[in-house]
Amino acid sequence: MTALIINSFREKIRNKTLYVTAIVGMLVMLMLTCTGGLEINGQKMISFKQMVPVGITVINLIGSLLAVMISLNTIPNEFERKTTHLVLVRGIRPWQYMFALTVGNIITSILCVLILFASFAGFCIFWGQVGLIPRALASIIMLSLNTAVISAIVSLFSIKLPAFINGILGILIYFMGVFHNMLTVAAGAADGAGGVVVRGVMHIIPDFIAVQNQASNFLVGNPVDIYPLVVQLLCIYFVLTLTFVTFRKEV
Amino acid sequence: MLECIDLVKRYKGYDAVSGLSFAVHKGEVLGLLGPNGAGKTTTIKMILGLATVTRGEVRITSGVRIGYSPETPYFHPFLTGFEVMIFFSKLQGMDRKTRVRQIEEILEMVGLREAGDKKVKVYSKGMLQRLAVAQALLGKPDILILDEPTSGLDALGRVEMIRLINRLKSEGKTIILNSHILSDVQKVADRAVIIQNGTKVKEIDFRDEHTSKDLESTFIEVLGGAVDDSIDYK
Amino acid sequence: MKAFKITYGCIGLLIISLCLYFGSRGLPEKNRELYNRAYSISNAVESRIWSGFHFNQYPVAVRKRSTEYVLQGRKETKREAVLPVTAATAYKMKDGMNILIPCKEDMDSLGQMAEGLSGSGDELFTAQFALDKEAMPDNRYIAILYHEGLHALQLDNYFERMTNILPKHKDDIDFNGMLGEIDGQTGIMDLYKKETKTLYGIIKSKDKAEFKTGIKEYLAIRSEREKAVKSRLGAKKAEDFIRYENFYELMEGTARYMEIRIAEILKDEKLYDEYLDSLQESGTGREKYYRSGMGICLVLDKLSSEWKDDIFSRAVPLSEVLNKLAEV
Repeated sequence: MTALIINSFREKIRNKTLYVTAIVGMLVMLMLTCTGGLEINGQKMISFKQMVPVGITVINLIGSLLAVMISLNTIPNEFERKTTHLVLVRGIRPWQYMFALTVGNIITSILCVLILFASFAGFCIFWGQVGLIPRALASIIMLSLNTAVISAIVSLFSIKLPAFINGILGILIYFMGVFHNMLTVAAGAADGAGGVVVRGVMHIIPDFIAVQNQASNFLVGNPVDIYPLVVQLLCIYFVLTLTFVTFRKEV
Repeated sequence: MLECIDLVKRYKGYDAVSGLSFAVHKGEVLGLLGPNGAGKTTTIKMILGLATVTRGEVRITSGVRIGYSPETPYFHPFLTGFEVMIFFSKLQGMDRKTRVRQIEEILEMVGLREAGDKKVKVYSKGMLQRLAVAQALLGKPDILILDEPTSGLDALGRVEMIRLINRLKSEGKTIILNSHILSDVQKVADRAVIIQNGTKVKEIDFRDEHTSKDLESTFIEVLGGAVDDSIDYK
Repeated sequence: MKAFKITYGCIGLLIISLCLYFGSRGLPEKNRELYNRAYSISNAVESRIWSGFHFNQYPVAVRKRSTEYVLQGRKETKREAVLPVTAATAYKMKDGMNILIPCKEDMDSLGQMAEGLSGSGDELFTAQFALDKEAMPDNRYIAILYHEGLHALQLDNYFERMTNILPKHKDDIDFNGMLGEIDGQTGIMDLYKKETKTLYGIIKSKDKAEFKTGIKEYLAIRSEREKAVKSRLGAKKAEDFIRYENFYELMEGTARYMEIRIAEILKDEKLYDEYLDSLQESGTGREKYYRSGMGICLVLDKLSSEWKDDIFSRAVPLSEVLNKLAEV
């Protein structure tokens, strides 16, 4: 199983996904430092302090969207190229295979986030704020829990769903998770059967904003609530467990 | 060694394989022949456990290992031939020492020893087919299933592949050869099973002295003249 | 494979155990402590700040994740969150008004968002990772409880009358659109800033004459600003807009005023000064009415001790009350 995980990860490394990510990250950070184009709420972001939250938010957002893109095609490609045949005839069980590919996707997605962070670290060094790097790194690692969840979900869905639908669903789930608290409020106010459905949906949507809050707490030195982080770990575990029982009828 | 008994594979509304029975014995090369859509690949998938069997049975002698070489092999283009072999050998749980020794032997046998360090993306079609056979040989399987191993190869590639199959045969390997190139099958197979619409229409033993007609005539005869364009009679 | 299955199962058990452990920890004690402090000053607030406002009559539902811990006096009950709000609010339940508030730890996470944003979507994202985001001081949390407490009083008794300040055709008005337009006018925004700075000067002044001149000056700037709004939006739209401003000053300005007065009761000079100093800062969106309303209330305190008695029942704009009291 380790061989499958490493191979899936190695393919991503060699097919330039990570290089593209690094370039995107650098471009974003370049955009941050050349503040000409960056305006928040009508005000130009000119100081390091103003740019840090923007940088972390951008890493979080791009990282999550990259996780969707990375996880979208890995498993369908294996089926399409019939690599599945060569793997399954060697006594590898379908659940081991799907699990390994999903873990490979998660690792690659997190690595992408870390590469994006490397650009951010460069930006901190440029501003002479090296001291912020360890705290920001820990914060980004917490945010990686969200990246891992979205990667796992999209990987799981990719076993059964076409890429286009899966991609839209993945992005939708991500944004619903980011606005989890607000949507839960709205769902709480909704009446009738629709309200029941929306509340039910909000129960199964991972709470990305709760993890973001803890990551931000750590960044600014506030106490961190461990609960949302372990819930997210449980979510990853649950989705990974679902890969054990999800497979295509015909390979 | 391997026996298919009354195999049936039913998809929505039709039977891809319908009551197919044949056996392959130790040390022989069995050709599976038939036009496109005859059910050859579905049969192979059922043997390999890649497709469920609707009815019937695939009986394999206990402890027999199977190696499989697909028709259109895909290997990650950024890996070298050697790395591809390492990957599959790891999946088979081979230890490091055996792995390295066996991979060198096999790559030598299929003529890829020197190209082993090159990335798969620079391999020719013939080299890819040989690499596909090479990975199937990992772990010294008792039965080799080769799905269209000469398909899409140029003349030289075909000659090399036939030579390789003959070598494997001479080493006592049991082989199931799925091909639509009749001449290739005739060159290497001991027996052939002709399949049409999922059922066996004829079984030929090339070792039988009474088999007077050539394969081409037999093929046309059993398929009633309705010969598929995809069949290569050369 | 057996080793994998065992390891995987153990990891699962560990994660589930951690979830159960961290999930069952209930409401951190700190929240009860803060509520008890708020409860203990209820009578002082009623006698010294707002007669007729009994904070302790409202249950306070402190939300921790999806559970609300409803505190009232010594009583504590638990319930499923009725309205999982992202910030504090007052909410009418079957048994009367409740003050709903996220637990202190969640308010710490919200940082400046707990105080109200200017309304920009970008800001909503980035404010989360703002480096200057600090944990909310305990006394500010208590002040927010009282802010919502005053809303509970307004909503419970006077809301219908208070909305009379708004234009009759309020549903057809795009207040946010007008607000955005006005916020984009540097000249008008400078006048807003000048208004609150003047209010700050009046509150700080020790001299009677200076105090009176200050009020006149403030009313003049306000009038000048309202004219500028008229020339920008047109007379009809400007009238609607100003009615909205008056409404927010009355509703939220008094609630912010309650906050600064709570800082005073709690003898938290630093917090008091922070509220007061906010009058010298410029702001956008609705939040600027919180501050200007608070400033007017503090000036009114210097003019009369009775201005609060019927302010909600009469539902008169704060600036009008100031105008009248200043004439006397």
